[in-house]
Amino acid sequence: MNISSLILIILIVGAFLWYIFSIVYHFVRFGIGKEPKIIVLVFFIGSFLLLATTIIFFTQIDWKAISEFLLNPFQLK
Amino acid sequence: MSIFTSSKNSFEGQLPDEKTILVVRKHPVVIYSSIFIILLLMIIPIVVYFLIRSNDWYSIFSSLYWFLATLIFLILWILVFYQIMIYALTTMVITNKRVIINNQIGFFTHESVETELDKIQDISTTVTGAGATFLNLGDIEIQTASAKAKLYFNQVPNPQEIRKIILSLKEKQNN
Repeated sequence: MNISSLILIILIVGAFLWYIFSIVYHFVRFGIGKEPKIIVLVFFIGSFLLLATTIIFFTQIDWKAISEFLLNPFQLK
Repeated sequence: MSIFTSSKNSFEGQLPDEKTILVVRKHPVVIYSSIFIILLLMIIPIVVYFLIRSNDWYSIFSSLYWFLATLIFLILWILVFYQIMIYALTTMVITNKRVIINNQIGFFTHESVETELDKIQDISTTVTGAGATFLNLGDIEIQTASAKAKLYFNQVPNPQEIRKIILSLKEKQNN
């Protein structure tokens, strides 16, 4: 993985983390009553699991095989 | 209709001897319709999977497919909770001293207007259409003697009941 794609990944993950933080912040600070706090807990756990799964799937992508196939799509065995 | 019960809900900016009587949010149908549309979008990756899985090239692209599918689920998950956040934080708080209307417009953008109970001059409610009548949802307009003459809160459940509660609190305060 080259440095430019690493920076791109960090920026995308950073954007997701920013959105997650903003939602959690709003629920915790401005939410009235118990329900918003319970909702934000569900959101936080779900976001963490989905983000981790997305990163794991990203690391498993075989870019070499995909690029080889795209360069010569009729050579598939 | 659990929102129509007295609660001990606290909120930012609450005065020391102020008690929350009622927290009103928009009718649940407002949030259900937004979530339903997002849930429909969640079906797309599943449909795509059944369309491409039998192709020869699927084995090459499977890891990319699963990455994109989870990415879509993550985006939709955030969107669902963004909608819930807007819904949960757009409230009308009725206390024993005042009525506060919080309107969450987006991240870090919100509007808050309030009036003291003794400054309320009139409250009117509007229920428009067959759907609104069936679901008992409508709009509330509070006419006040303050600088901000009118306060609005739209798509609330049981607007007549809320009107009665505010008027009875105002009467109680006047006596």
